Amino acid sequence: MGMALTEKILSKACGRSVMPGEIVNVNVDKLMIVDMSGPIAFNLFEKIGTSKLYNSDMIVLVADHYGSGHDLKSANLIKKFRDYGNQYAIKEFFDQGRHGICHQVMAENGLVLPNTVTVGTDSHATTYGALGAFGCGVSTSEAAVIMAIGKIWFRVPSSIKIELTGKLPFGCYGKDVALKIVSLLGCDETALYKAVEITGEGVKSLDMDDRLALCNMIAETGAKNCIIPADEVTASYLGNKSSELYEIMESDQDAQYDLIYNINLDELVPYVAVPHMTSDVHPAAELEGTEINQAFLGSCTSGRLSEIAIAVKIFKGRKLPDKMVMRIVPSSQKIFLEAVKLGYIEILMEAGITVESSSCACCGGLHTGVLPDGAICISTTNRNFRGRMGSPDSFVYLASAATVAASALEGRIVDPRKYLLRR
Amino acid sequence: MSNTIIKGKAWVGGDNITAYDIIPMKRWTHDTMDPNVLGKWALEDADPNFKNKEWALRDSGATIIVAGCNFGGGGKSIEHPIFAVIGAGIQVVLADSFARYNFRNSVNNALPVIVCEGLKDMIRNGDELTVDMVNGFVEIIRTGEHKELVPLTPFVLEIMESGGLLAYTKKHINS
Repeated sequence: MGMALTEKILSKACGRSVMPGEIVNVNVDKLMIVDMSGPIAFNLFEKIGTSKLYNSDMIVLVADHYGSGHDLKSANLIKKFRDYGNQYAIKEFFDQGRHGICHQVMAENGLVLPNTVTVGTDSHATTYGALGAFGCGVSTSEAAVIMAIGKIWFRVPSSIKIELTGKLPFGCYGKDVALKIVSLLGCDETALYKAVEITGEGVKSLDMDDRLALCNMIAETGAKNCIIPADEVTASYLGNKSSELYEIMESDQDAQYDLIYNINLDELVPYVAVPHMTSDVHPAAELEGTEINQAFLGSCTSGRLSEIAIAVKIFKGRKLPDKMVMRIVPSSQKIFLEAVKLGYIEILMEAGITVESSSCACCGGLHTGVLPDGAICISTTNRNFRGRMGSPDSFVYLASAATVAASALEGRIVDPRKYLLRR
Repeated sequence: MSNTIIKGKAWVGGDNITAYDIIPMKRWTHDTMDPNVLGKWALEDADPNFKNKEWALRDSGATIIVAGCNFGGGGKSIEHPIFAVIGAGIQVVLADSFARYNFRNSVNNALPVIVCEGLKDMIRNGDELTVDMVNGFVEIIRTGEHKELVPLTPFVLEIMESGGLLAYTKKHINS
């Protein structure tokens, strides 16, 4: 019987053929740990009682959830995280100055390679599937165990295949594909515990920023991982980021899938998920006129250079309306610098948009633009549960960078396509 | 997990009780995860009677949670919900289904989590239950009914019997 790609990667990582449903102990290639879980993970690692790390080169530390420290408590936690990083001599430590949001930092620094097992202490580690890796979130205890022995147990997931045909149409992005798939699979329903494999001719029309946004958001379906087999787009993205060689792997022709969906990309339109459910998705055009008073472009789902460029296109020579607040947080320091060099930041700031240093910001309601009571926000983030971005009395609509920027410009939800025609 | 038969009083909840309902974000601790601190607020946002009341779940006398589908969802990889529930004295959780992180984190911290579809609709809040994890059934004392449950797999049982994933790893490193 043939194997799906996720089964093949897990087989490779445990040295024998595995089957869906089996519980296996697999070798981990890379473990990413964020500031929020770092101090606890190191503390638990020390409790295991082995004095040294299994392999310090497989560990990547990223300070992102607490930003640059918004109060004394978070500042001290970042310090504790930094102290552990120094104590254990972790080379890949993305502290202030090299910072960014964990999943973007992993991708842009060539730390995620195709066919590897790459995990992180954040539920959106499904993002690594954009580069053809098996990526999923792990807890602090699991991180501690991986630090000690380089392995972790997984139940091998069965797979769902999503076959994309056609081409990503004008005005639609990876985020729109993600919203479409989340609406099909539901939140924590059909795809619970499963691998979601995205393949087909249509995948070629998705660039790496689209793929990262897509695999990121599939976490909302309850899937264990989301994977796009590595292809030319992957190879060209990895280009000079990594010199490591990898083999081309894909699912067997006769691989078994629990379900197969076909999506014709040509039929997609810009979508919006309405409060308070990520799977409650409607075409932006049907929601036109819905009033908003805040907009956020950032998080591990978005905030990449191509997305900032879209906001620039929409806002060039224009102004944000009165009473509207818009915040853009680039997803890494590298991207921020690129955007500065390209003159993007000047255009955005002249439009009245607040641009802030890279961090998870208000996505999880922690800091930097937390939503107050009564806020109605359109956001490029991945979750819109009640209270997720701040007040339980706020409302979050999820959409692509284009829909977010165009809606911010009008102070109400709009289909962004009319703004994307200008040069 | 020394005991494979658990007797006690059940707290009964519905579908989609999220990680945030089990332990509200404002109650999260950030440097340690102490059951004696987190336990005070277990299920605070899942039960209107528990709002702003310290130790409400523990003081209700319940030692078993019975819930519907997707218990512990919301996509959080944090382990605080598990420590909250353990701190409040819960010995086993039975549900129609579990969110991925909740299932893994419970196993890794030796809190038995057992799939038992439909149980929540057969019982009332406060019912006394006997849960036999090895022979695979629940007895509802009030009605005398028996309901089958999905037994734990040997690997999961081994982790739990070791006292959790850390203790299991410690044992294997030193052997």
